[in-house]
Amino acid sequence: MPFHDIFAPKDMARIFEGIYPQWDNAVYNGYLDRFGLPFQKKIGEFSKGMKMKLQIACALSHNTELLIMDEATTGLDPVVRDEILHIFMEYLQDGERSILMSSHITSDLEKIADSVTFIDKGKLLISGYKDDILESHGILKCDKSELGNIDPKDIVSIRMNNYGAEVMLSDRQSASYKYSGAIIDPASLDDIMLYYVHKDEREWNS
Amino acid sequence: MTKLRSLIFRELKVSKKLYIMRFLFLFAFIAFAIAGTFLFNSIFAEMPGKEKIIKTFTEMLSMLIMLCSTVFFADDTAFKSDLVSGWNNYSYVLPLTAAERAIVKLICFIGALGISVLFGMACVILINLIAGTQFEIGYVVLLFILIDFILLSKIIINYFVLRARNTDEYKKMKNTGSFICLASLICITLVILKCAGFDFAALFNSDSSEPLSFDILSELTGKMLWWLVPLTISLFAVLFAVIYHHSQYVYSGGVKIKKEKVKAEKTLDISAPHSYL
Repeated sequence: MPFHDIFAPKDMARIFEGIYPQWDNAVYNGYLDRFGLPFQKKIGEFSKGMKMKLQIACALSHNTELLIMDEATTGLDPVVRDEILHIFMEYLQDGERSILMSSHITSDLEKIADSVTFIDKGKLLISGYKDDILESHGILKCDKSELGNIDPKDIVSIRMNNYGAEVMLSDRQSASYKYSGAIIDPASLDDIMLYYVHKDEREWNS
Repeated sequence: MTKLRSLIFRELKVSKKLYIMRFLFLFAFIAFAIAGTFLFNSIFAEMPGKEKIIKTFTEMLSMLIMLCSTVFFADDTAFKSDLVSGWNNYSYVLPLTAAERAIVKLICFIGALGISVLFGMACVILINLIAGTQFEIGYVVLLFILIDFILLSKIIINYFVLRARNTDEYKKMKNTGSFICLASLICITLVILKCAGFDFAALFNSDSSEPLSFDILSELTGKMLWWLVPLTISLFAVLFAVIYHHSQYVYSGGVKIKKEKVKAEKTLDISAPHSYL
């Protein structure tokens, strides 16, 4: 955290109200109350979760149009994460603001993101509206012997296991017509990302 | 102005403990100097040639006080703390210009130095009063010379140290800067003394019946202030320039990147349902 341990939240307010032209002390104090952060206590005595909450409170209190956050919810417990995601959604409600957030916690992205972009080893794998990506992809489970019946153009990659194969399809709707009778399960962002990472291998073992 | 006030508040809060410690040390030294003057006066009250001895002692003590009041506040107390906490890198995403960053550092330095020099000078006047010796203009000239040396050392050291982006680099840069600074100051001192025609041997009276005497102050005349004051102002300007220069850059992974507005050349179109890349 880029704040000195000797500062308290009240000191951060005093520093930022001079630096940011649109700093709002009332909003800042509101977030401190909501997060249960003590106003006078030194930051050095805060836990990791408290420090993260303080950073988020500072970031949300100067009425910025674009917030860029790097792993803002990493290391926090699920209750706190949910609270912070809820606050992010409130922040975006007026439609005039945006958040660009990086995260390894795909469940958070499923809750809050409008658009997602997956990057692996510096390479962009997939990018688009989250709902479109979730609706268009699906996992088809079949025997290994049935893999030949699936059009390679529909396949992102195939996960092999002892029971058969799980095929990630890029167009679930058209696949449901093409392979009628097959059960195609919806995929989570986690699954989609995993299958895209192995796209070049095509077949891989879990 | 509110921006500068906030930044100065931050800088002073970070350096508060160190400043308090240094001022306490300075005050302790001043107290020792005043007590020492009284003691010296009483010890040498009946000695023949006491005026010269007391004058020498007072001059030595005065010069030591001026040296302490300038040297104690020479270094940048907040920079290392900022490195450790990560504030240095973080501050580059704040709406601060390089000039604002540099001005704040300069104001804090001038403020601390100014206060300590005032206390130091007040002490020098006081001990001269106690000793019954005259306060000479040479003390003011010597003060300006000391400040110029401090500024020069700060310029050289800051040139290296402000590039540091972590504590390991800071140590290396500080050692390099300090070595170069020391060598430079020694050379400059020797050159100045040589040009002034100083003869070190003559400074010390070798006759054992005569007490030791220092005549440095008599060499420092008020006329020297005509070029010392502009020199001091120029050195302050150079110090600002060095801090400003380094404040413009982010040093990341050993690479120097100038902080400036960059237009995005390519934008990612996310209006399509999704795109594979």
